[in-house]
Amino acid sequence: MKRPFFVLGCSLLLLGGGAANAADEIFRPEAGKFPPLEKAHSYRGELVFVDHANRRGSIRVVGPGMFFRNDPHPFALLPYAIVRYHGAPADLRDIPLGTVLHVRAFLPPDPKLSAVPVLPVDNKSRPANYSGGGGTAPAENHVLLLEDEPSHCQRGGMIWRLKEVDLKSQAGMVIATREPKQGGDGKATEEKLTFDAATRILRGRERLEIADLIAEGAWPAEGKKSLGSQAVQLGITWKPTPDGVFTRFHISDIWLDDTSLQRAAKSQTETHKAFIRSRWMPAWVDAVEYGKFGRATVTATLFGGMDDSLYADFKKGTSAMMNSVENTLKHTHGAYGPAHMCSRGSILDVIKTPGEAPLGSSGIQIRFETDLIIEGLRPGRPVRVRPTVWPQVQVPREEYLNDSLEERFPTPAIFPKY
Amino acid sequence: MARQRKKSLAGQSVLLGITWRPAPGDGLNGAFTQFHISDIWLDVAAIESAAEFQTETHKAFIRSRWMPAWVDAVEYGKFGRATVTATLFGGMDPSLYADFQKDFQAQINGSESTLKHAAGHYGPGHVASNGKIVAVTKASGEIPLGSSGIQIQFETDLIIEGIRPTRVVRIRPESWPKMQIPREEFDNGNFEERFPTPAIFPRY
Repeated sequence: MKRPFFVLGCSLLLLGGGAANAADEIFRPEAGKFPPLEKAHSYRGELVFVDHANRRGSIRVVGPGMFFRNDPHPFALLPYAIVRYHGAPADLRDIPLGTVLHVRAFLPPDPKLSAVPVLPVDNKSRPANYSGGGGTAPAENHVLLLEDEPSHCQRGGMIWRLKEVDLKSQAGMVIATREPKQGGDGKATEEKLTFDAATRILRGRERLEIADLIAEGAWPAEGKKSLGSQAVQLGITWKPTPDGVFTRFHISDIWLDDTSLQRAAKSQTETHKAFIRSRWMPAWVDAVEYGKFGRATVTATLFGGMDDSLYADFKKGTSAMMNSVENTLKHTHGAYGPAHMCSRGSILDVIKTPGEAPLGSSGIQIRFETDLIIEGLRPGRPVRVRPTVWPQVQVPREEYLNDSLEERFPTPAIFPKY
Repeated sequence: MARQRKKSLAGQSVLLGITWRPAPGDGLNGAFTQFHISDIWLDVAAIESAAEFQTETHKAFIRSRWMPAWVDAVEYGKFGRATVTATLFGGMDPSLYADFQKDFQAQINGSESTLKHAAGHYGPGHVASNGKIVAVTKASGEIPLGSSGIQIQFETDLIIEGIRPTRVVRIRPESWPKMQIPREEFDNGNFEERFPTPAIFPRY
């Protein structure tokens, strides 16, 4: 059977007809509740397409068989999804194609509103493509956590240990293990990873080439050398593999010390801070208390995973704006941007919930009072909030809906008519 | 005392990376077209280092996807034999062109205008015409942008469809690794995959 692959921009929703006996195991996130991470399905794959404006993309999921033949698998970010790149908060647009990502995802919360195809709920166990096994097209395509290799390792207290390098003409193979930073049991599985002259070696404030390591005598010019379980963090990508090897990953970056990765994280954090200040903090509405003549007090939980300095801008007694958005976090009211259409008011209170916040939540609630509540600020709905210390800007055309909700899932009619 | 916010930079020479970000304004007034600096290269060594990494990235990319070219002429022989004259496209690192040498084995594969392999998961290495480079010619004078100015003559004993004058092909010198390209980079029997419609969602 022919199965064309997903690129970007489409409208067909396939409503899954899951196995009846799996019905009582089905878990879908609900509006207004952050789903427990332990109920997420985990997988790993290569980022192949990105539709950043709609917060979706495709991943070639790792599974048995010929990796290169696996159809790119569409995914959508949940409104409260956390994306991490280089150990820092990120947007999809920050991640280069080819990056291998770790995914924690759920079934679509509401299949009718899914921005990507809805699959049979047991699809992860069905044979897929040419792989000879399942798992490369899981129905769990609504992502809570998306992280690149160093982010994944840092969160889990893991490091890579380099065992051996085999080098020829500034390219070659590394044998390495991913294991706990503290107290590895020596039983980690060895992986072979390729590198080439484009692999970046980061050390302190330096960005080195393979040639620099050779010049220093750390790596041989040709041949094999033991690297003595050197502890590093790796950036991992996929490239087509020679020699009949189907699933082997490639090292894009090697961070030799903490300082170098901290510098990468700082740069990515600043990129994301500027992004969130211009697009506003995503949140959802917990409750609305209506007053008279359009007055209302909105309680909202700010989504998690951002830099602390962004949350610090939400202060009691300061003015703010709150705008409704759709599930892709897009502004829905056209060229009259968020600042035109939002509810204006002030932050009455900032409440930090005790204990550990679930992934997706910041654990910070605000109470916001407005004298003109707009449609869309309803319990369970996502919103974006701007403390007025953040700059007032206009979001670009692809990041708002103008006339029709159908713009969300484009048809060929999306091409401009000149 | 207020910290100094402005300082003359005295015409300092740099190279800039430029992006766009939403600029302050309310939609009626404000900075509508104001660009943003993503990178500042303060010296030649810095930009050369950036270029070196990008060049190596692109070299690995072209070696795995093959050198794009177009066919200038085909002289047909008997029983499928043919000699193809093709001009390699321009803009690549010189080390890639240096791999095209007379008497070296090579493969030449038809591709569509997007440079995609058009014959499914039996990849370029399976379906290409195999043969030998019988001549490499460098044009003199100014080379038009898009062209490398390098023509090769390639002889094969089995010419495939798609290797026709003015058509786009990709060529692999034997010294480049033979790899399988990923699923989204080949058409699998349906040209409609080129410009997807909503029907492109997978049917599971």
